[in-house]
Amino acid sequence: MAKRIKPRGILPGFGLTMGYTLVYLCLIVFIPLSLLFLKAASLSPGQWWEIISNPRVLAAFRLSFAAALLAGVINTVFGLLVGWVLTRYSFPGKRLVDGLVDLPFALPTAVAGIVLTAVYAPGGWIGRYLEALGVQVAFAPIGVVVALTFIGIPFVVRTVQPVLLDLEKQVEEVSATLGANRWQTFRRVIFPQLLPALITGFALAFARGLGEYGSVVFISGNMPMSTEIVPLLIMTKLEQYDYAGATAIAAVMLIASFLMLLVINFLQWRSNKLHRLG
Amino acid sequence: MSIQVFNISKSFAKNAILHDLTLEIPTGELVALLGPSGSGKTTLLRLIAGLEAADAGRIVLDGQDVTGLGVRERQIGFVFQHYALFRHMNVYNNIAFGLQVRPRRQRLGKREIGQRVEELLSLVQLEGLAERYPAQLSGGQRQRVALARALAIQPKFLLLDEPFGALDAKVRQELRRWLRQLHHNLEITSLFVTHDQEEALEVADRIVIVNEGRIEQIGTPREVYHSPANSFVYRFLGRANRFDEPLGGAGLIDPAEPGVSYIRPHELEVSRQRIGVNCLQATVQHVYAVGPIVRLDLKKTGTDLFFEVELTDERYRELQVQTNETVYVRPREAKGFPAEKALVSAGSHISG
Amino acid sequence: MSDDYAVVPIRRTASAIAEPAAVRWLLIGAAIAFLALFLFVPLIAVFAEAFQKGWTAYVSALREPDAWAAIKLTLLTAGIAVPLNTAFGVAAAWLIAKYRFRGKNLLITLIDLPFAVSPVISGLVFVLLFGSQGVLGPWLAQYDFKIIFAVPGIVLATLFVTFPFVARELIPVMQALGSEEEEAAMSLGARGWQTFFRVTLPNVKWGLLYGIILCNARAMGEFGAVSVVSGHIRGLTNTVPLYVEILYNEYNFTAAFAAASLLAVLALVTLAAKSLVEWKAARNESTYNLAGGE
Repeated sequence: MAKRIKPRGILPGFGLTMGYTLVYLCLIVFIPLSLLFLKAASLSPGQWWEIISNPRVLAAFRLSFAAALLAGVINTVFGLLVGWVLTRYSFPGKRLVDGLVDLPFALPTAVAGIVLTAVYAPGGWIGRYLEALGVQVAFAPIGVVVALTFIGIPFVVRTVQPVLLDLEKQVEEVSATLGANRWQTFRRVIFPQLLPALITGFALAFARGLGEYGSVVFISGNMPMSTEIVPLLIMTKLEQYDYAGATAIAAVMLIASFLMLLVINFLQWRSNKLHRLG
Repeated sequence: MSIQVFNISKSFAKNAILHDLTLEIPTGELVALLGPSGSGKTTLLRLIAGLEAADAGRIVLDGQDVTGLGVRERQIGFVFQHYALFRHMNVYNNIAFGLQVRPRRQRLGKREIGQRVEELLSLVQLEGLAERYPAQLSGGQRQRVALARALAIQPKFLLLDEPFGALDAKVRQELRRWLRQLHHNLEITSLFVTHDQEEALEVADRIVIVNEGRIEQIGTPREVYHSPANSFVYRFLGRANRFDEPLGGAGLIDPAEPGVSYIRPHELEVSRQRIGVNCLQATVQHVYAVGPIVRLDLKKTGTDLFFEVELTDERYRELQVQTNETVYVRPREAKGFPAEKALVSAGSHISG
Repeated sequence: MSDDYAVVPIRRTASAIAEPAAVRWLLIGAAIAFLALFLFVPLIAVFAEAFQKGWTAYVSALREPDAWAAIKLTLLTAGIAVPLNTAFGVAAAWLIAKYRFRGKNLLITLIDLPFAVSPVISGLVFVLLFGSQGVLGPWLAQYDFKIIFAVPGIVLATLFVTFPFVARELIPVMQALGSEEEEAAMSLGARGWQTFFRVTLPNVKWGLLYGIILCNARAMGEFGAVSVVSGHIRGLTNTVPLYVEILYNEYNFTAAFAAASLLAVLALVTLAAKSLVEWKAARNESTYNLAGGE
């Protein structure tokens, strides 16, 4: 094993790109983010606990996590369904539908927020039917779930689609020759292969939902203790110039997001490493 | 437990793949479906398995018309070229799969399934690898897992699509012998697809030669090799020199009949002197003298006709020929076929 | 052979691995219904609400001077953020795809970081840095230079939020291509920049374009982060999304949806461009494979 032959190859630009990348990364991302942790660390544990254990803050955390979780689950189920239908079947307008799945990525969240409110508010396009059923979506916790579901649609669909495309047809055929019916083939042969992608998609949707602001603030009604999400609470603290409070809450959010990021990276690394034939 | 196929036709997107094909495979035989790529042999195998539906015709397995039955009801074991192992399951669960998905009433208990899997693992000589995942196995091991998995459901028939296609040469050689032995022990009617004539000649009891969706010939390896039904079969089964004029030199073919002659390289005799009246004069273009067989590239004098001769190393040393020398060649044996135009129609009949 | 088995056309049975038609249509129906409730109806509603009071109301809403100011600020912000992040994305992708060095995976994770940060927090970090109570706040006040509640803050927050887009699209494309073609060009005597512009760039142009499109969409549409740093000063620090919010909170729904419809059109153009780029890239790849495959 020759170890020290051209470790970087003959292509020029290593110093330039490395320098530029690191400087820019530090200026735009790394320094500002570390500052937040420095600021949070300047609080004493007592102060910190006082801010976090405030009932209003706890209620916001509970709502943010629960709504993001529920929206993530909804998106996992329907994302799998949409991904399946788009890769396996053909129907009129399929390409259009496939293209529009990415709309939540492209549509500014403020627009999503006001239009979801208009549609789901009592008397709105869909809200009026829900109202007749006695369900209030807008200005209620369900509204938060609706907004986060909208935001999260592309994640599961787009992580599960390539895996569905890559599945070997022969594996399903062999399952049929061994006597499995279609449902058994799905449950025992197809689904386990989709599971890593589903979990990744769920985690992405969940992480995005946790931090989402624009689409939620319009539909939720922003009532403290009831429909107030964490990012809004941070915003409120900032408007009251309570920088310490905003920072403490933000630090907790950030740590939660970073843990999610770690989990997602680990899952992707594992599914890449494991079960790869040849 | 024979396989019978009657008048099967199949097209994909208006491309006819199989034309009115009829075939019978007797109980207990190991049969090769041999043909060039695109000849329709894999399609035929998939039709028999029920993985595709035919456009017309009947498929009869073990005396029962299964044309309308799905793949699950046909009791066949199918082995894919690239194994199609379940990569998220270990070897044990791959092999046990067919037993585990049976309807509850017919399902074996956990312990019986375990026993059956153990038996199969020892049958395919993979004892002790039950916990491995497909990614941790070699190509040959994967192939044997695929086979054990297919055998687990005790199929009446075993269908294999290019079973050795994805393996390297040495492993392939080993597995061929092993498959023969396995078939000998199990006596299960087996049909395998291959494009490798050597493989078919070596492994199969009987060979079905398929070309352009039609059967050219069916016979034992000796029959198809020594009595080819037409020039396609002759050319497909080995190296062949083609001569447009009938070579009557050795009195093998009636010179009066128009047609072409085919001669295998080892059926030509080479010497430095004229042998008999009708021998060919040729110049040596190139000598490949590696191994026990020496190959000469020759050019018929006064023409642009190139052909090959194979001789033993011993004979080559006796002759001492060099490049650009003139030699004389005489066929020991040759096969004559009607001229090419007539051949096309000759290939369209189904011989049995 | 036997006459009993004449050529009989048979009913085409479904392929061995397909679901029955009823199941298929049920699944398609359920998927479409889900997407309709959450995507299609809201998308149509944007335009329906915008044109509720007719074309003239729509046009006059967009001809407000504040609307114009918001549009100009949005264009300015994207005009700064997109080129900067594109340059970064290209440099980072080159670094990561062409060289081996320690800590590469950490670097990739750090580049992705802004995706994991809530938009509100993305704004917050700049308030902590440049705000009046921030680390550099007093120093900036000395020179009377405003970043927070001013245009520079909006640009910075947008830079942060759109930071990963180009790099993220480009890195896998460049990694998949490898370095062989660049090495061949160098061996033929091309200099570094020539190699980049004549060999690398043509190969990755669709991935790059895709990244730029996504980066631009986010830059023009960002709401949360910008909202934190802007201060909502009409005509000065309002981008289009912020302007939408203000109109909406003033119950001026038609005007709010009129401005929102501009952003929705931008989103649709983005999606169309994305589809086009994907289609082009797929076609390029297939012709490339055809040429190389046989």
